[in-house]
Amino acid sequence: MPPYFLRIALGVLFLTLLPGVASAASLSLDPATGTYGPGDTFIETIRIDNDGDCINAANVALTYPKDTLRAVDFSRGDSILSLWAVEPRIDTAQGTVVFAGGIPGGYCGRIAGDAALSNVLGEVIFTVIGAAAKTAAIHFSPASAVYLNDGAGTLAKLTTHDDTVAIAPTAQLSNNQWLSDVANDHTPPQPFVIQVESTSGVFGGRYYIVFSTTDKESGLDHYEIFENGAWRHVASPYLLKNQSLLGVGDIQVRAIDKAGNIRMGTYSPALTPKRQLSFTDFIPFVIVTLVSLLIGISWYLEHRKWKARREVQG
Amino acid sequence: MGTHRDDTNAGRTVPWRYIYALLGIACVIGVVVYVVRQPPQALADILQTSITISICGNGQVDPGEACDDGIGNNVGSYGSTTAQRVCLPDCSGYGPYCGDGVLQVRFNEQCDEGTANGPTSLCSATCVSQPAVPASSPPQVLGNIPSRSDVSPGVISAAAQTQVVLRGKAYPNSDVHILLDGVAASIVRADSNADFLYSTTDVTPGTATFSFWANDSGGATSVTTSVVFDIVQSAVTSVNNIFLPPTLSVSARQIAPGGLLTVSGQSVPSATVIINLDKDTSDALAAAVDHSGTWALQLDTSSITQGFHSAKASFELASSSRSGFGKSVNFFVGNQLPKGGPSPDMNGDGKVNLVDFSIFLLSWGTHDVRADFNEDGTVNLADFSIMLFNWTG
Repeated sequence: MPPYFLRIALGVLFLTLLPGVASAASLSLDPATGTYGPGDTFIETIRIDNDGDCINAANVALTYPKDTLRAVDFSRGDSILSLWAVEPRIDTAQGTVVFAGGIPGGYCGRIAGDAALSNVLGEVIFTVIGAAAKTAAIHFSPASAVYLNDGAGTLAKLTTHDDTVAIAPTAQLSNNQWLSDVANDHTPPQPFVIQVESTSGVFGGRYYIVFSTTDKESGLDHYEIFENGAWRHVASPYLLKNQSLLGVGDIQVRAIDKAGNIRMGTYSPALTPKRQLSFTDFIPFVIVTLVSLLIGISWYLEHRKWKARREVQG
Repeated sequence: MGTHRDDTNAGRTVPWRYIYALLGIACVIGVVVYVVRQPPQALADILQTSITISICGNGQVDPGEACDDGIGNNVGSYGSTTAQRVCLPDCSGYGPYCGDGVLQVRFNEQCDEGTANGPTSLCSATCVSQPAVPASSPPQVLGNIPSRSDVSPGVISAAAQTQVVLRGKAYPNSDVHILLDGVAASIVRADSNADFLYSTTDVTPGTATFSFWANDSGGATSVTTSVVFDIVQSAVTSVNNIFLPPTLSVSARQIAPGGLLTVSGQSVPSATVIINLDKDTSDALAAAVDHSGTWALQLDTSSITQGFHSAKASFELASSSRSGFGKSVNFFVGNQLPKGGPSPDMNGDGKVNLVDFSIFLLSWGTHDVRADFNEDGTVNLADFSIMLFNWTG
């Protein structure tokens, strides 16, 4: 029996058993090649080609040789993703970069006449830290995935195009493009609003806030909230520490981009919707009632015993 | 080994023909399992529409533009000759100029005969009246033209604003909800022909996602349609042919085999709605849209197998002008409707927006059934994808 027959047959069998796989999309790195030396900082742009299908969510996992390269930052300034289920996470110890995000309504590809490719998912900024190896390969790991905008969570068939950069003994770049980009960013993140919500079954029905914005230049870095007299990092959704709301002033959240530009978001508690009560709101009341009942019943039983003893003695 | 397909191994006959048969059966089973496991609404064949972008300010005359003088030059100011005419800020035409056939006294024109202006005309190329002279004679200027200080020359600032203009079709007299990067930005009203126009200067250059959805007059919500493009600084970026696909409703979620199911919705007046059942694109149904934007057809379920099915629709105005597919609506042919999964509208306010996304994030990676929309046991990116498909902002 020719061995390739078995391989083909098993391959067909494997493919046909894959659940929900349809169509094709590809992830690639731009530039696909390059030569860099120790100390050089370069930008790798992660692009998606939807191949005619509409997609709406992507999970990207990159691996790189941690002894040669170090991922020093991540920019989502040009990203088509506007909601991030998994915030960009760099693990320099493992040599990985992961993120997951989505596009409400989906992305159906570049529109004819668009001034840019408009297919960027994110940009990873790498610095060369070692020259022992001649090359450094940046791979998309198998965890990378793309979903079709079909309302069914269908996994798109995905191809990935890795990147291998050549490593030179000395620095090759005369400037740090990322630093220049950040230095030239004087535009704050987009305006945004803070919503105060109270949802039954979420945070026990207590007040929480939600917010989201984007930054079109260097990309959003983080959010901060002003609470207890200080600014502190925060992520949406956020359970408010002060649940009374009224009398504590405005709720302030600020979005800060990579260049340090700030966009303020303010919410006046006077506009707060009525809180939704959930079962957990009644727990203290239930406990107090039960304890009171127990005390009352105990007292009543003791009282009856005492009365009975008294009648016997009398 | 001879011509027959059996082989021997240590004196024992290997039954290859049975192995082949088993493999063949396994492949067939695999194909059947693959087809059956496809959820009825998993329709990957998504139509591309004819959306185009024209950038007013890039110096190129893009489709839909009459002119484009480049960034900062489209100010629509007066041109003293046809050659010196200046494009309007939206590139829809030129500002006033000598040679446009309109006598514009405020710009000191004495005459304007349009393209006839010239040395052989009674009006010179600079819109100065002149007697009929031989073609070889130079144009004459008759005295000084008084300047008028009471009129503005109509010059628009050269510091052109960054602007986005979006044009498309929804449903007649419907409110079109517009989202910028997933957040509600504006609501515009479509006219009786279902045309809508949205223009804004409140944008930042760079990659942007504009999304659109609308409710038809029956309350059915369209699919959210998005366009992703680069907003060019100091230019007018126009996106045309943004088509909201038809809405589609069925008269019953569950119908007995052989019953008549009414499939209806709204779309662009005078368009033809194409309805696809399940993944079948070869035998699509068609329905005409009336002047009010309504369409309907009766579906005979006697020719449909029992079980879940889905219907989705697109519209066609001309062979080259077609929308994408709208929401896929499921219906069940049979006598007992199985239970459905949870809704991405997690707080039940009728919208799928940041609040639902926030609640969803709290369940990320867990087995929370409230956020497990595809009911695969885990809250993951597939559920996120379903939420994004239903996004309303």
